[in-house]
Amino acid sequence: MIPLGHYVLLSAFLFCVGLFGVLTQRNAIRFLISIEIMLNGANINLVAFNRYFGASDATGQVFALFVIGVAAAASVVGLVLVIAVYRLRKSVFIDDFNLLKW
Amino acid sequence: MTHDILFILPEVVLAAGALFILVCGVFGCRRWLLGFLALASLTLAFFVLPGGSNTASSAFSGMLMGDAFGFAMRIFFLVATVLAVLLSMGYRWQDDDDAGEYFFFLLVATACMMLAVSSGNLMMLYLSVEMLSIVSYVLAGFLKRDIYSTEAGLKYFLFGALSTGLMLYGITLVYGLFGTLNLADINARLALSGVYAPTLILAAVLVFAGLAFKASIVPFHMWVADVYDGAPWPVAAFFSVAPKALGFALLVRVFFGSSALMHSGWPGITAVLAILTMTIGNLSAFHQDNVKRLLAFSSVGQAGYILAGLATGLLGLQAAFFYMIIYVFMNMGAFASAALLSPNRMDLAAYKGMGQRAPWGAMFFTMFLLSLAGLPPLAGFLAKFLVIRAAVEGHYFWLAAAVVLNSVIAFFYYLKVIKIMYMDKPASVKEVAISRDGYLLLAISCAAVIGFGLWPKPLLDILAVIFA
Repeated sequence: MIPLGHYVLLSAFLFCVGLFGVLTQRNAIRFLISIEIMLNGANINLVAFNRYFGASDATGQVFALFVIGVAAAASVVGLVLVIAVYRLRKSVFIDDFNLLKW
Repeated sequence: MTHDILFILPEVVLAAGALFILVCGVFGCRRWLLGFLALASLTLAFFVLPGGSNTASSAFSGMLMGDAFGFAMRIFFLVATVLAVLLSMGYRWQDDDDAGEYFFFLLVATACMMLAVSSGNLMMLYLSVEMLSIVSYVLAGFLKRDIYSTEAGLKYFLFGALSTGLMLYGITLVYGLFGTLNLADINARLALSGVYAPTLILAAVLVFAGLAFKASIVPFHMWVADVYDGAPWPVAAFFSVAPKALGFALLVRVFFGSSALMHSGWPGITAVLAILTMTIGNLSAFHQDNVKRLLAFSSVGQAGYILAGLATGLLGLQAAFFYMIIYVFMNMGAFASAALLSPNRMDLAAYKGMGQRAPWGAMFFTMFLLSLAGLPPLAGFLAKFLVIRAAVEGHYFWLAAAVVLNSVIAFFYYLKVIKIMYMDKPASVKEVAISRDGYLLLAISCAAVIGFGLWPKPLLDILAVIFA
């Protein structure tokens, strides 16, 4: 069996990759993908911890399923907003969204 | 089972009402009728709220829990939404379509906030906060042909998705450390083990970041001015009171339930963040020439005063929540009067001569601004006084001094708006018409601001019972 530490390291790595993407990517779609990578890091944590604590309950696994569902809903809304902005601006780059001062 | 259903009956009523309004909107009902239906659902939800007793109850095997605090906060959110619905009915929208969807999202957001504040489990907390966030992104970008509103929605989404992602990762770390997501169990374990594990501190910081984003605490406040500026006026008014209050309520739920955290560095860190929040908020508001942005930064400053209360123990908690209740009325009132006086132009020049063009509206606006500034006998003064008193009694003299100094800074920019309304000559002397619903909202808020200022005792007694 693969020890728990490996899973936690993998999830921390994914989380950091996502966070790096969020902080560096200027394209709204790439930003969205980076967020998804962060959430997947969290999901690995949940499932791995659940297995580690024994199968007496499935809290972590159920939570991971919920997170997948919620992430889908959130990215739908996010993409809708990206499209709404794109129709008016013809751009998906965050630096171009400067009508409201940052 | 019946008990569980009864517990979430108010949220069920709101969701059902929201769906009904959505259908009515599709069949072309007018805005006032939809707003009336929303008010009816909110009233019905109030009457089916389960028990105000002090005995704690739980539902859905600990997923939700009811106590006096949760009960009070659920009423709080219902009242805040009633005010927001009234403003949405009285406000002059650019186009009148989609009103059904608008009230649908408003009611769903309220239901999410009520669930979030009653959650006894971190999974429930995450789900309801994330649900509220998704609805809020749509509300911020609601005017889909408006270039500012869509940009506000997208910016809110980008910041919001990041902050809930951070919070989720923090929650998974908490799960890994304790093997449970139940808040009461976690606090019991914390009391045994202390709070010094580095992973736990990282987890606490991540969860704090997610909640501080909602409460617009520095350094998680960057989105506030942009989102409020671009979002429609009634949505900005709603955001500035309800989700912000939720942020504070959840901070109390997660961090104050644990006595172990209270004995760690939490109060000191909170006090420092409070000072940063009020100072940065007020200094940024100082040189704004856009009234909406000015009010947005003022709301960041106000969040600092509330957070100052959270830093100073039990007396401070009472003061913070007294402040929050008053804040709903005065801030909603200020946003509403600004929105009703000048729905389309937001620069300070648009408010020139409002004292003649709309005497009543300008008078209400002045009242709310003076209350936000903390002028006696209005309730805003008493709220600030209580926060300062709590800080002094908790021996946080520097915190008390910061609150006083900030009130002085804030006074100037509130006064600037009042001066422009009464002293400056308007470009045109055309009268500004304010609708009946608008006046109703302003009158209710004004009555609350004056009433709680003169007779605060009943409210203070209730708060003393809740935070005993």
